[in-house]
Amino acid sequence: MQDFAYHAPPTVAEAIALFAADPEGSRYLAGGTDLFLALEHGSSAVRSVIDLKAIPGLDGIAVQPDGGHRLGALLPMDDLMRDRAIRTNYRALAESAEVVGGPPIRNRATLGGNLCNASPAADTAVPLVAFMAMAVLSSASGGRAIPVVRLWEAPGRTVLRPGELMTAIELPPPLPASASTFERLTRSAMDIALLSASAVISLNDDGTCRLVTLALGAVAPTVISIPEAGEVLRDTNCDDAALARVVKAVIETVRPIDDIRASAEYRREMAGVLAKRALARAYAIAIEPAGITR
Amino acid sequence: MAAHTYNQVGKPIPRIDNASKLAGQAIFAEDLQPAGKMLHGLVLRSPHPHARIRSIDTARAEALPGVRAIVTAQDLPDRLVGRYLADERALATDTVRFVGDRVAAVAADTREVAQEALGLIDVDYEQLPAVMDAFDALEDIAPLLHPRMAEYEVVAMAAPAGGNICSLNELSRGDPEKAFAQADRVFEEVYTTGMVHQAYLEPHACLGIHNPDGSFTVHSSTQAPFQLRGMIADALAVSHNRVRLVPTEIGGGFGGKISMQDEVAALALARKSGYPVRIVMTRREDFLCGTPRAGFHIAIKTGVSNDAKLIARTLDILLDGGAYAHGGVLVSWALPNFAEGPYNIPHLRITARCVYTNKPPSSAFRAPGGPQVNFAIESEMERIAAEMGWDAVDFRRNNLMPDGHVSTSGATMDCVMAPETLDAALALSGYKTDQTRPAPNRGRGLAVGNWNVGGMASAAVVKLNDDGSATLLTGVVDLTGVHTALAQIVAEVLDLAMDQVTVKTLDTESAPHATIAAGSQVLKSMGDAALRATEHVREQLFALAVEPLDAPPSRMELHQGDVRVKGAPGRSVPVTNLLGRAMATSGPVVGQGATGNYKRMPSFGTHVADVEVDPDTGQVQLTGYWASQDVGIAVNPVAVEGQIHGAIVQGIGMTLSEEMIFHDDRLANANFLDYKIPSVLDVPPIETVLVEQPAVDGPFGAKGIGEPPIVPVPAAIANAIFHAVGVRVTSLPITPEKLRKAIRAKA
Amino acid sequence: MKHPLSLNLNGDMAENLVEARTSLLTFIRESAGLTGTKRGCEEGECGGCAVLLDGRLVDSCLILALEAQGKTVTTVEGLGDPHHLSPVQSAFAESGASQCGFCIPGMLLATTALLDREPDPDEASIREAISGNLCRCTGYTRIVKAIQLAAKLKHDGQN
Ligand SMILES: Cc1cc2nc3c(=O)[nH]c(=O)nc-3n(C[C@H](O)[C@H](O)[C@H](O)COP(=O)(O)OP(=O)(O)OC[C@H]3O[C@@H](n4cnc5c(N)ncnc54)[C@H](O)[C@@H]3O)c2cc1C
Ligand code: FES
Ligand code: FES
Repeated sequence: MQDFAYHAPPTVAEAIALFAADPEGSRYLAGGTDLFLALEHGSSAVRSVIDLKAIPGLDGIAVQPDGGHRLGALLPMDDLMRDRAIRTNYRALAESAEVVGGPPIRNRATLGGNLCNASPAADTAVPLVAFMAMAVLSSASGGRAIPVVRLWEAPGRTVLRPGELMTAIELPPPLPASASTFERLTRSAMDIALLSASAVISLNDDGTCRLVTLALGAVAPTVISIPEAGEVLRDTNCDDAALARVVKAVIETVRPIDDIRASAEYRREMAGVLAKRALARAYAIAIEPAGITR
Repeated sequence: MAAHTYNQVGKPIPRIDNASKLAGQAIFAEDLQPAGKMLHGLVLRSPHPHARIRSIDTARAEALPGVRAIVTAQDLPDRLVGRYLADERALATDTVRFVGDRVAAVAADTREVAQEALGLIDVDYEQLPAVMDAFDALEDIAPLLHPRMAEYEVVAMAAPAGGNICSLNELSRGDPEKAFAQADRVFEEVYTTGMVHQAYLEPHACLGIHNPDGSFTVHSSTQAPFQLRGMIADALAVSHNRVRLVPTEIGGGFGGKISMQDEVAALALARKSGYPVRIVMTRREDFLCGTPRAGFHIAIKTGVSNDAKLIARTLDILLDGGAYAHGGVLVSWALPNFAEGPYNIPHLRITARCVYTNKPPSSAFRAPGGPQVNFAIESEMERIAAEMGWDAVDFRRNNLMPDGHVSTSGATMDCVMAPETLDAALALSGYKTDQTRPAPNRGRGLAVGNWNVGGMASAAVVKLNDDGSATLLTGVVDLTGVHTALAQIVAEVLDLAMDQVTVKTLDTESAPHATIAAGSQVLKSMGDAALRATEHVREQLFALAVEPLDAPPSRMELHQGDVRVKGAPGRSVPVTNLLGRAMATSGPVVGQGATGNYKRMPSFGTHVADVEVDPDTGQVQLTGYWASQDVGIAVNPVAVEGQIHGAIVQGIGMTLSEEMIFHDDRLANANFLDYKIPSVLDVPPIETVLVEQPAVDGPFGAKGIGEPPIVPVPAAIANAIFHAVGVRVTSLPITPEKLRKAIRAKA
Repeated sequence: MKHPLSLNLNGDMAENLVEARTSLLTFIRESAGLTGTKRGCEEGECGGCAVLLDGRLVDSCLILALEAQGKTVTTVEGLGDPHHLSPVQSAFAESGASQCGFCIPGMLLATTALLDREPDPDEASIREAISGNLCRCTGYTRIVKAIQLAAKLKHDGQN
């Protein structure tokens, strides 16, 4: 690893200014659990590492006036998964944070880092897409917010402009009579996902589905959402026939790859299995009055 | 269970190295920091699986500030070395045969500089076609990986057979072909297993020093100080006394720390630079250059009679030996001795071929060959029973080898405890022979494992200190807690408290020859040497006591610091008095003991696994595990249990998730992210029972225990999966993807 | 370029000049000379290098030494020395939980972090707490037992 300069600026503005001094050679550092290996094995020269952890206020959870939640980009997975509000209102997100590595990783790995690293297997990215979360970005030219689902272009590549910094992730208010689930497959307990799925379902008063979102990880170059799930399941009881139609759409949409963890063929088949499980379980929890997450 | 009343032997005594290890004070090889300047060494390794080296240019690297020395084969004598077949060099001359083969080495002031220097060494390679599959290696058109094999010196056991076959071993009895013709049914199947890495937590490391008198000192995390010393000295073309090998604490080995790694490179760098040189492998290097368990291809054919008897069997086994003949040759040699399984089969032929490929040299890994072959044998027992409509437990019982069984190799099998371990495992797990499925997709599987445990020549010295306490001097390293067991043996014989016994590991210069710490035989070999050395001490004490006690030695015993006359507690003399007398007459009391190589002895274990299979995904969850193990006498039951737990979990890894995967002729998963060893979340609750029956030889009747408990694991789990979902995956590891495919094929 | 670094290491001030690329693991082992923290993979997979950083369990191989500026780091040497083992260390000794010992420093720190947060963990919590620490020798069985005993010893010590 080549040596580099290390900065720990106290404000977002200073971080952005430092980055601008050498846009090619700079990297933001959050938990470092991805960046470290990139520094070790990466091809391009890194001359400046800008640590974001000295900036106050980026690692908290705040409730918004509309009942939505704002999660700091520097929030570590361990804090996220233990937060009561998140566990009750955004269960799938807590469940996805719970499986990111082991405790030493979760104590460092941040939510923003998981998204900015742009791995299609990033666990928390999948429920965030299902929850239709927004990423809040900051740059010298100002701020913007974009849907998480539109964050990525390819494995390892985000739409962030050079030097643009993610400061927060905003979750819309939890829906009434809703439930969320996260499912993933691995080769052994401590592994990166072979593939993953997350579903959010909210119900009409008559118990049929009102709003359904489904997102899948590691079956395409980026985490993807499956809009057909919402279209097909709307006003249904999430019955087998409807689920079968969603599974068909999933299998036609995914573009998995072969790697040493699994073949594309297996991933394609499993995408259907996990999608169905995530949806069926979400529906079952939502319909069970005691289980309705509110 | 055997009744024995000892003071120390058989007690769950905590390990004597606990305090230093638990406080983080144990010094492993990478922790060594000699006084004064030390250089950091790194090895330049071949990026190609097979290539000719046209030239090596080190000029640019040498010019880099901070670089102190660079060595290539030019700096070493022209020597081929090997434990079994002398087929490899400490640094490559003209050919590299696997990705990771050592080409050159650099010593620099810092690791970073050494790293940079590696990138500045220009090697001109001419790539050669690679052989990445054991079957391809057998083809007539396959490139010969060692064209001069016929000229290699056979050091031990190897039986090179031309082509790429570095060892061919066969044993048979009866006439299997004729018996197949007469059998009521004949079953044939092929089983394969992947190449798996020992994945000890501590990567290899060593520190090389060139001494002022021209001799060498090397510290290494090795299981085999004496054997490694010999290879290093041979590679340097110096006599063995000129190399002092100092074994360090060792962070796990499991057979993977027997071969030579970077020791000679470190010494050559030390000689050239004038400074001590430490080489610490990265995890990736260790995956590339370690000496993993060979992948097996096993064709098994079995003839049975309608009365549930095994009549005939042939096993044709092809082992992927990798680039050099390390332990693969040993495994090939040993296979015919244990591959008959725990059964008595009148007509039997076992053929093993170990072939060269352009993969890392495969070698020993805990019961090398054992779990692979048992996977085939015990899967077949279950399959045959199911197809014949027999009870699989009865079928096994009907064919287990009897005590005194004569194996294909002609050895008599004493202390056969196969039925006892079977019964114990059934009782422990509450196994019902009318195997109804407990719930959909849940299943239970069983396997009986056998292994041969032995012992290798070893010697030990016990010194008595002037207060009667004792120090055992040994050259064997402690992987399993064996030093604690050795201390228990010394304490037992001299009737001392544990803290009155010290066990000291010495280097190869000061210790008498010791066995390697592998092969489930340390306790047996070094234990016996220690026992004899201690008995030698006792003998001397008794001789000194003849005059004061006025009794013959045969009537004496040691009791808490006194020698006394048996049955007459009043007639005693303190050991300290006797030692005082000794100083005035015969001199200090020092005992020596030695043993030669032992005949190998069978050891058995029966394991039961419970699984739950997710048929839609092929994922397997282990929900319970029970193991009975034949241990002779457990000198230290905690240590013995620890060995069983560890072996089972390694077995779980090779069964469900571990495999070295080669893509485009290169290892594609050379790290823990991609090569999955079990974490605590992959391990079910494990219950064990020790079946104790003192063995005919071995200290206090102890049998080796390090290896045997890994043997039945894959088959037990595979049988449980079969029970759960009715399909059999015949290749290890049984990944979710393979199992899902099999389930789909059946549906 | 070297930067001054000072942090609280096991209660003592550790100060030195380090390059930015130096990992906390390398700082602890080579600059501070505490070799109880182990280098098993340098990729965050094995937990051999685990230490407590301001009380939280982290893999020191994935952290720049400079990130620990002004913070408190606890390594195995900070838990207890061979003559004064902490209750957690004693529990491991008594339970036969250590074999080669290479994974043990990381396991001890994972246990310490767990018991600081959850004095009475059930088996599932124990397993979760050491799931980032690989052990190749023990099959984990006795390590889990040791942690149960450690919880008890700590309790008894407090009452
Ligand atoms: C052993 C191990 C196990 C793992 N297991 C999992 C797993 O199970 N599931 C999973 O999803 N991931 C896993 N990971 C990957 C990693 O831990 C996660 O992706 C983590 O969330 C990354 O966060 P970080 O804070 O460490 O990111 P960093 O490494 O600090 O940064 C990652 C990238 O994002 C950029 N970046 C970070 N924060 C920002 C920001 N606020 N604004 C702009 N850019 C930013 C950085 O410049 C860098 O390019 C594992 C990693 C390891 C080492
Ligand atoms: S060395 Fe840090 S996790 Fe393995
Ligand atoms: S005791 Fe050896 S790795 Fe855990």
